[in-house]
Amino acid sequence: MLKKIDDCRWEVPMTGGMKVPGVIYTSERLLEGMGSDESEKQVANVAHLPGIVKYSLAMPDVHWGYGFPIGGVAAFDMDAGIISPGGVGYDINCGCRLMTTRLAYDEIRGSMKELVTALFQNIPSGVGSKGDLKLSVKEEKKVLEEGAGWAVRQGFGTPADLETTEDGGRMEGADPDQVSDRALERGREQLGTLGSGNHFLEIEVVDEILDPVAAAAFGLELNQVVVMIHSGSRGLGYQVCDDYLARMVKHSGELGFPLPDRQLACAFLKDRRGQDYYAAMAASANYAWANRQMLMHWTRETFEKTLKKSPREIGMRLLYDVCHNIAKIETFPVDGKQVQLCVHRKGATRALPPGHAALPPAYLKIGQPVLIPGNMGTGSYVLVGTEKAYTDTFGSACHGAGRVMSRTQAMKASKGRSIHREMADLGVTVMASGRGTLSEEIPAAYKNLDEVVAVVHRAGLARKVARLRAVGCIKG
Amino acid sequence: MGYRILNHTADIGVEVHGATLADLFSQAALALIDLLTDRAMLTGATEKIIRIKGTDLEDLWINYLREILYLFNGESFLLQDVHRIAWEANRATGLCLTAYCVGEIYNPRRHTINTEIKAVTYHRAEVKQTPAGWQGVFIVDV
Repeated sequence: MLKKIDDCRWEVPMTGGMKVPGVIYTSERLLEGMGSDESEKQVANVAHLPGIVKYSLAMPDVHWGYGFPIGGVAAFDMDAGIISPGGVGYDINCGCRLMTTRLAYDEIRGSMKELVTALFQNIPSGVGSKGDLKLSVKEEKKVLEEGAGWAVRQGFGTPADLETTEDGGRMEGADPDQVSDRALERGREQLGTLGSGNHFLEIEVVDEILDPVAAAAFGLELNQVVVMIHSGSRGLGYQVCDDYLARMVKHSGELGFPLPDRQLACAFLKDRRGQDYYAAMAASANYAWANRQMLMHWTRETFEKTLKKSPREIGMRLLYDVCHNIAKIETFPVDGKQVQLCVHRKGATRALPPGHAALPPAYLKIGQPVLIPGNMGTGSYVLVGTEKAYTDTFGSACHGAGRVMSRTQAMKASKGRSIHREMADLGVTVMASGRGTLSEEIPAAYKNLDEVVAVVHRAGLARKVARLRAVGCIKG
Repeated sequence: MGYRILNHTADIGVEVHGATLADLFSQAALALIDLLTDRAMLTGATEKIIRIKGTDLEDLWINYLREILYLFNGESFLLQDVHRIAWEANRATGLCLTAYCVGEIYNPRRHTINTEIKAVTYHRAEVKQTPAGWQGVFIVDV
């Protein structure tokens, strides 16, 4: 049973083998819509894992996943704790990047259809989409080591892009030799592709400025055209997660404790298996950063060609790139001491406060941009990290709206409707390659983004900076 | 015997029924392919033998489905039918099955992919005997 702590937090009290309590950030309204208590059970399951520190957390966009809930955050002690592929998710370093431009909406309004069509043509998307380049395994391993920097060296973007990418677009400790042949094979043809499902590229307009000082620091202004990209490590990351889950399930008998769910299979951080997974996960994260870097480069090119403007006139600058499916070694205060922890964020965004050493110089005074994509048609939010997230949630906030309808329910709800037309009526030009994608991704399938973000803002985990309205979208 | 789709917020769950264990495993393969594509458009021109191990029945169940998914994701092979399944059990190595399958290589001009399936998960994986035969559950991440 959930116990209300305050208007934003509900506790999952310790029962049975739970080592710490659970805390769910939510609101009365979102709780009602949660319906199934399955997410709550998953928050409790994570609390059973050894070395978990303080509490098992869930963000307001939490929804029923498998193993760890989607929207879950958990930190583990480096000596006694574990690392879990299911606590990161299949799409390793699935994340978002937001680019600002020098364009006002009026300058592109007349070319929306052309622009969306051109983006759809130039950016490979859809199920199992393949890119234009097929890498040699040797070159692919360089991508896994170097991340976004590899893409920049190949001419996809500029070194300045790396400054505003989380971790500079390269995670330390990556080892391509820990990535299986199967994963490498799947990754060879998929670099520079968007993917399908909830992945997208969206043209948005700054609709509302909620914090003028932070907005100015991030280079955001009213009516400005911005672009949001949501994608990850494609088949390579899925395969790495799949490989290591199977390996950990096979050896779960050696852990010395029973797993409440096989999908929670894990390994101790100190053990070889845990370290191998970390090295493979970091390599996959680097692949995802190179991927988003390339997608951004082609977006820049497409804007220039379609609008017949120079790179300078378009001025497409990377505001920030964040990952929301990852496990990272980071330092946070625990009981008054600075402790190194392995923080799992599965469907949660890092949110660092002003002054944190990991921030790029441009945002050092203001805090980390926290990018929260909505679902198709509702736009997105930009928030800024706070001290509260640093002390209370291992520097984490929500990552999106979170599903409320299953995909089959969404398909049923959209039967006989022209989602394409409905989107157009909302002022959004949409193109998708999958037949069912638009139906599965209807706005009603998701929680209310305003409500999710309001909880994060009220709880003080991140502060609202700007709201973005979608005007054009391509989906897989 | 056959299968039905279960509602799951983020993913797709499938409950499969079979008269025998071999029937259950065959039906599960077909259910997985049905999620991916229109099976009626597939031929059985290419033969494929799948050999899989598991520590117990549930582990074997998921490993088998993971392999069928990999055949598509990694080798573009779409399974059309499972002709026969042979079983082995060994105290030292656990369970092992060999599935004799047919199918064909994915051809984007003839085959439509309905859903990208990222993985077959271990979440709530279940294989059990029922009065009517066998029942199994698996959840895929889409």
